[in-house]
Amino acid sequence: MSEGSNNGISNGNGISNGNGNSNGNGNGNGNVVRDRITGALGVLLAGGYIAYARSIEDSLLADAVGAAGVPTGVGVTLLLASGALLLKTVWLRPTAKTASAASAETVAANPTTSLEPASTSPAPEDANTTMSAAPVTSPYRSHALALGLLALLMGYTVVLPIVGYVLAVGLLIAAVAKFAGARGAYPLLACGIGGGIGLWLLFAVVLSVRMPAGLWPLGLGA
Amino acid sequence: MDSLAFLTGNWAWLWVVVAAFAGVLWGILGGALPGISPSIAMALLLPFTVGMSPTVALVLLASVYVGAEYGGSIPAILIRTPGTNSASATVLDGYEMARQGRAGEALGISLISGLIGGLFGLLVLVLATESLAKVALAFTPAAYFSLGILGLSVIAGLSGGSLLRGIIAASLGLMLAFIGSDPVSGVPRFTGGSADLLGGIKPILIMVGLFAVTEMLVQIGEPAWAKAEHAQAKLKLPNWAMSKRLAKPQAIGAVIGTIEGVTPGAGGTIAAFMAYSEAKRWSKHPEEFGHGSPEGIAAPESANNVVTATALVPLLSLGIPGSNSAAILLGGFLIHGLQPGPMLFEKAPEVVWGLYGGLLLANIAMVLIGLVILSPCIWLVNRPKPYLIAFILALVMSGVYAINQSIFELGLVLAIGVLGYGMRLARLPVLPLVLGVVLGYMVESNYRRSLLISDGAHSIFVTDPVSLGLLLTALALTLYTGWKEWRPAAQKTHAAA
Repeated sequence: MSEGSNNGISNGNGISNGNGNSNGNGNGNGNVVRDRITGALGVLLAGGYIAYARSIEDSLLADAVGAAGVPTGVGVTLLLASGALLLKTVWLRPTAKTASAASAETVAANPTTSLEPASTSPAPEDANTTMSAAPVTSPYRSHALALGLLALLMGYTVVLPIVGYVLAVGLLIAAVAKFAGARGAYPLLACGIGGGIGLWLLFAVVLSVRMPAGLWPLGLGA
Repeated sequence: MDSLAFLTGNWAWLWVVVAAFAGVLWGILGGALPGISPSIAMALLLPFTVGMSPTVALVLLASVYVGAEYGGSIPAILIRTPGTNSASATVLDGYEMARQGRAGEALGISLISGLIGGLFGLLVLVLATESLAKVALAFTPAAYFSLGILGLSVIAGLSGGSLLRGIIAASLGLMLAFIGSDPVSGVPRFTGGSADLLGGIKPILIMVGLFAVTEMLVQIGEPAWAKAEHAQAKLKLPNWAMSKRLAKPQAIGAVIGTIEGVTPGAGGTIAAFMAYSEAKRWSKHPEEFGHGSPEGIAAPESANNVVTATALVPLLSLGIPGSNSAAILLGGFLIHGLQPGPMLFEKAPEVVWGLYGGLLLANIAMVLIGLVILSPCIWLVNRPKPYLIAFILALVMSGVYAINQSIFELGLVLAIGVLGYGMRLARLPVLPLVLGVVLGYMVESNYRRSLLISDGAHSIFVTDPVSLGLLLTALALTLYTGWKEWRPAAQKTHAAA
């Protein structure tokens, strides 16, 4: 794939341009707002980072540059780049021109336009070659789903040392599948049990990794 | 003939064969799944390579990349959904052929064109890397610093389409790289007092988090892809007359794939689209393009497989990964304590030759497995997406834990996954960040080493001729990409058309 970019399928429509083409010129506006937020966050992060770097105390072994030297330079670089991005959003107001430029790039990327962008969205560059696909799910719903998935994964790290690997990973599979929209109790149960035991066999038996046994009475996983 | 001596010298080659076949198999399956890019398929295997010998580990990872480029064309042809980005161009004529009942023929063309591209790319790789690496042997610490700067500026400028966002991403990567003990004095930096962070964040965790976890967080909000029909699952290799017709588009793909592959930040997708339009321009039947032209499959599929090998040229010779997949492969090197770049050919020539041999095997494996893999792939693509997400995450969480048996690292991977999600929202490219992570140490330690040599005088970076040349190149590239970004939009449209 082009590896210069990420997965175009997801990058193109889901998140990057989530609030894209819902209203004619919205794409340009949405991206400008996004850049403004990115720039502002970058400036804040850079400020905090430089302050942190300056608080590092050097040992007697230090060279002239010191432990804080290069990081400070990077912090300043981030400050300048984020500041420039921020200024650019103020300076260059979104116009119809930018939106048409983006769509022209999209057309150039797809030599024939016989494709429905919703299903394919081949994006050779990154999100900035905007796909004209209308988002199927709303961006807020996508973010909520991502957040829920994250919560499940964090739950796994908490539960893992307590209940042991086999049970934890089986639960993780069933819970994630259910959360992602799998239907029917029977396949969920089968995948949870089968997946838990299968992965345990792979890691603990075949690869002989010490997975956490937890409170599992049989000591599975060790 | 070093490679022959290496292969006959010991039995390790048997594992190399196994790794090539297993990697290709995994790559085809991963590539066939629309949510899984080659870099994710590779990232999922990274934790498993920790206990392997370096050669076997790298052959495994490189073979995944080779297999994924063919795998991606399977759903592109069957369900008009590219399994990988670089299979996007294959959709144009591949799906048209499938609609005409010629899916098997289209898949056969994709497979053979991939083989030709892969072998050509390997030839270029072998010829190009060693001579480049010899040049790089003359490098001083100052030159290494400048090389790192060049790598960062190239990737920051090219990979995201926006120089500013690229620089921001690269800075974030460098910041991650600085977490841990200072390389010179050993003072803890940016650890927030955590003992777990003293050793720094391992690149493998950053890669698994950024590629696998982020992608799953995104995928869960995306609609499922279409189903494929089993009736189409019969692969048909091109006959002699067809092969003759395909030679030209394949050659076009090979040349473009070589150029794009060695150019950092370009990659397989751009190569595939360029090869498609060039093949159309030079074809005797340009009117067939878009209506099921076999040439329209041969050109992009040969181009994206050339890239699987030629993308390794800047990685092996200079230590600069030009693509996500190359960055993951670099992660594979780092796990085994190897630093790609000129010294690799001195320190571990057997790994380099083993990798070449493994890539050759992988291309053979791609054809052999490709002939029989179609039905399993269709079965896999038709599985409900929720289960795929669940199993991929279970594999990620288990694999990451297996590296060091550390719950802390699990949390770290999740945090990095969230960072990746945020970066997508902010439209920040990922590759510059990865590059910042992997080049951070090289840039900082060589910068400070150079200043120790020069007694603190920064002039060392411009008096060293190699360093000066690299810095000037970096400056020119930065100015060029900056100019491209800031010039008026109207002109931009003109250039894009």
